[in-house]
Amino acid sequence: MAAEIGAQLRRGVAEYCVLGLLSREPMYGWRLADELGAAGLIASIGTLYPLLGRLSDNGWVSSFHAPSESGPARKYYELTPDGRQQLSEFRSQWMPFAHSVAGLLGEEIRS
Amino acid sequence: MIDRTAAGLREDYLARLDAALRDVPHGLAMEIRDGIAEELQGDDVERVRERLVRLGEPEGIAREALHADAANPPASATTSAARSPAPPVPLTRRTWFAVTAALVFGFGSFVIPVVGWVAGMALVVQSGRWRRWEKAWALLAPFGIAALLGVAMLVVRAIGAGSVSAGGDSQGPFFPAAFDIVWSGLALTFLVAVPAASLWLLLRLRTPRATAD
Repeated sequence: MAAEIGAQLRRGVAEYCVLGLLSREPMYGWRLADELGAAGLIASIGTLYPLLGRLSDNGWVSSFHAPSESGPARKYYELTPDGRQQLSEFRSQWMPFAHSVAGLLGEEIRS
Repeated sequence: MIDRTAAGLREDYLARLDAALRDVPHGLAMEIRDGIAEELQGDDVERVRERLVRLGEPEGIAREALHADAANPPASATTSAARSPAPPVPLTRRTWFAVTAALVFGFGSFVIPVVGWVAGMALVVQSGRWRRWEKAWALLAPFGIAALLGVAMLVVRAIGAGSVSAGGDSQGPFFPAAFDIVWSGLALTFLVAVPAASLWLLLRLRTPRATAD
């Protein structure tokens, strides 16, 4: 039951979290998987690429190849202008939503 | 002897990953494979081992990819996330469906002429295991080849007709008659080109490519 709740919550926000990470700087797949995995948002790198595929299909993320810090060329992902717009809209809704839910649950969110 | 060099560990893992990703849509499978292959580059054995431990079993990665691809709603959806369990992988994305489609397309005409081939075409179009350009190539290339042969034979026939005009004798046996062209074209298409296209589709199911289109 707890696993189902977590899965539903993650499903709703995982793609926006990818957009949020990419808003900092372009990233390659492994690094995105690292960050999202550390936050408990994805189970494995196998979960990441369908997300990236959908974000690319929506036109919110694009990709390019470039040398990495360690040398070999990698495929990097970056936000498109539409992706930035989508992320901005999500941010504008997220905190009010989180506060509302917390209020209904009797919890408090420290902003 | 087991190759425990960085390259050996990498190739072994990627081979297992390719096998595990067989039921994953081709484009997605390539993205996953390329992303993992990038991270496993280099000759540092300990680094590669550490990465492999973090990756986990290839079967788990493939399972997660199928689940995420089938279950997650697009970010543009305004409705809440589905509460029902993740839907099973669609029939048309299964490997066995694609193999059946390719075989019926390539060899169905030997069982039921024309109808078998048409049914095979329909199955290939329905399958989600090939990209659009791959299907178009397999379905149209045999006719392109037959058309080229037809044109070549028409040219030969025209040359023969020219010889007749000049020499006054009827065309010899070496110049194709009209029905030769038609029947040769049909034979080439259904006996050679279509089965070859079918085999090509089967190979596309198995062979990973270094970069996705």
